[in-house]
Amino acid sequence: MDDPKPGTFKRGDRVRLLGAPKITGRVTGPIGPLGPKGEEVYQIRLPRKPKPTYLIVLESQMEPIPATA
Amino acid sequence: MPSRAYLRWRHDRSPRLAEVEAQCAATLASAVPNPLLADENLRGYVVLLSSHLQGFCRDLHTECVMAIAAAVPATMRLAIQTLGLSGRELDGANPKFETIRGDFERFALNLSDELSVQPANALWITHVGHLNLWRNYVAHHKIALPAAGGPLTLPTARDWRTSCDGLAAELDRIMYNHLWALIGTVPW
Repeated sequence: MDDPKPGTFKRGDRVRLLGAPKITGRVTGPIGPLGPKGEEVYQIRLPRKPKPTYLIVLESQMEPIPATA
Repeated sequence: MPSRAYLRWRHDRSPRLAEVEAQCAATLASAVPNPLLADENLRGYVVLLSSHLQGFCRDLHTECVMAIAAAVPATMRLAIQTLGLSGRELDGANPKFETIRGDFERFALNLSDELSVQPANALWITHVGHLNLWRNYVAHHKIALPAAGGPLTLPTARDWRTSCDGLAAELDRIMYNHLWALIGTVPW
């Protein structure tokens, strides 16, 4: 199936969660406009040991981490 | 007002399934019979139907979690989302009724009771069970035929799709009303 209509972020982008700046990860993909008023929802992958954790959050909960950071 | 998950079911998932169903019918009605292709098409249709039902249920569940998360203070949002989505069976398990019920009952409702209001739902739930049995028969290329729901024919698969349509509409209705009562505002 085609990917849902892309929002601001794309697969592979590094992001941090607003309000929880120590939680950072990579966008694994858009899930679709399933948030309030059709806001885009994303799955992000957090590097954790022994295995990564996945979260599903709203676009407005994330901010990009610049590539140089 | 329908959820985005249900709109996607109606306007994206359902038309895709209709195309596959039409292909099954065309193969069966072909002037030059090709029973092997007809059988493979039908098997593919069953797996796709189950897959789209799972996708719809997962989309609707996500939409419900996001609606509840939006109703709590921002500092609680991530915790609610994580609690609502972690260990969700619909992320990996087939869309059996037990799987659907288990995930949606996280929202503090009794899905069986809610569905019992509409008499047609009993048949739809039975059909979803049959669909899952035959989906597994196809996907795992089992030898023994499922004990119920067969034989696998296009009319049978059509009935299952009709039941999936009905169940999708019912889940959408139930969750809209339930979340409205839960959070005090329309969820979508």
